[in-house]
Amino acid sequence: MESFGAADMSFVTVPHPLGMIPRDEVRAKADASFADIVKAATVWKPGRTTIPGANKIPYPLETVKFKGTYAQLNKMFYDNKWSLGLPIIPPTKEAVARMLKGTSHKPSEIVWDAIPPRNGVVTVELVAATGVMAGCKPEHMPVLLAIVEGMKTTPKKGREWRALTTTTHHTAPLIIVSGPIVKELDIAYGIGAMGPEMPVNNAIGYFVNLLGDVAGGSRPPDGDKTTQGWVGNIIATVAGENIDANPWKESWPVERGFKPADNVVIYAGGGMPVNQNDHASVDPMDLLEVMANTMNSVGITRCFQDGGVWILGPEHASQLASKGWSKKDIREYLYKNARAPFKVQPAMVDGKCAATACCPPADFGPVTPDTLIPVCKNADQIELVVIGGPGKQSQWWSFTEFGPFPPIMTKVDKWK
Amino acid sequence: MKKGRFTGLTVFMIIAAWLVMPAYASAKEAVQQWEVVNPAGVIKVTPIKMAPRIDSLEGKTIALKWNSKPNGNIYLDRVAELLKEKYPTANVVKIYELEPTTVPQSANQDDSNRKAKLIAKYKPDIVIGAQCD
Repeated sequence: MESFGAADMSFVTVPHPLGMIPRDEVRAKADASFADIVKAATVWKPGRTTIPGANKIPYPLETVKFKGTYAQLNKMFYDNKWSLGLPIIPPTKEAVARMLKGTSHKPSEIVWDAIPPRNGVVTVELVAATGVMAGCKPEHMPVLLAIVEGMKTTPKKGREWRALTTTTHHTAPLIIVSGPIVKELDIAYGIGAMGPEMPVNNAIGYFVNLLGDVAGGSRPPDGDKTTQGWVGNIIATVAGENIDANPWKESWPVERGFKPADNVVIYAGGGMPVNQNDHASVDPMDLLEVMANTMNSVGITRCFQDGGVWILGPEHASQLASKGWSKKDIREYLYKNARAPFKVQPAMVDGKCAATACCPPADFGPVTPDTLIPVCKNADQIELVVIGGPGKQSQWWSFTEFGPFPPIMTKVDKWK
Repeated sequence: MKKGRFTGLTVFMIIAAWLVMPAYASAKEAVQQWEVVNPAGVIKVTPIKMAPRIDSLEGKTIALKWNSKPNGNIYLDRVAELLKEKYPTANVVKIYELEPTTVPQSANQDDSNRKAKLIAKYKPDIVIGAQCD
């Protein structure tokens, strides 16, 4: 509300649920709330007409003095909605100044003029402060700034950051770093890269959600409506692309026109990943068949969505490439075979295409209950990247309808 | 003798631990004067002028906006029926039927602005939106 410039707004709350109940019950809820609607329309007056604290100068950041222990400082940060509950490294002026040495950009430069839903103004200094809190080092600054540039970019399709970070859907950011900088910064790309005890990956992931929740204000229950949430909402998933184990040799950014020497941050996002645990398939075709069936879990991806990315373990990738399957071949196979019958898809309501229902586009042709419905709109929406170490595991990240599509790629070196 | 040396070493270690541990603990828990920056920064807002309030629905144009979530349209359909019944002079406009592109969830701020302009075409005195999920 405030971020849209409205100082106040009149609301009538209708108790959940409204979806997934019969028509008569919906109408009864309208009857029960009608008097409140009329009151809100004709009696309610705004509690205020201006928004306090808006449009102050963003640089330098306000300095706060606090007397207490480290634990008390952490509590103060949490109480002020300046942290997420996990411990932070205090963003002292000295620590922020050290962090700013990691970039040649001026601390006053505005990287993102309004990160939703709160519309926080993100300066280079604010990125440095948030990076300090997350445990990042000065040499990470160009990566952090490139991530913010990606987060703010309006995607060609899919939705902007606001959708990803405020929906009830269990979505979270996915950051993949590609290029020589992966090894230079010790960003993990092999065994366990997306999870345990990877200090650089985890610090960068913590930075992403600290920025989104503190400056961006995406916090439950108001700014973030995630029904249950998951750990990706507190430490975003970050990994390096494992180009050494990529049997096709071409990195994801190179496929999209970047050069192999380019350091690139890929910002994507979507629902919780689904693991593919296939130790048995010998022929690539068998493995692909399992992958297609992993993708078409209709509760995860529904139909005609914006695709997703397969994060292939090196062994699965190697097996797929072993008989000459190109990435293009794999995409086309998965697009044709990752399909589920229309009758098992989330249904339309009264024949109308409500959100969350599977609504085949008109050019798809006639649909019967047994018509096989694709997960995404075309083969190019299925991305492939190699990450991880030994093992026969891969992850499917559906972009759902909330992540950007195609994922946003930004160059790191411009932020050095 | 061995026992004596062991006992002496143990006593030394206990004393050392007694001397060191409190200092370590107090360093961790020491009250300090911190000077930190506020990581929330400031917010950018383009204030909008709020529409004048109305005190009656009689004779007013009332726009109904649906956000595509299941059953929100059924809810608004019923609200429209009630409005017409109780306020027969009101002009009830179902934006979701007249301007279907306003129904899907916005992809970005520009998309929201586009929808706002479409709704404004009908010059509503008030907009009732079903932001359901």
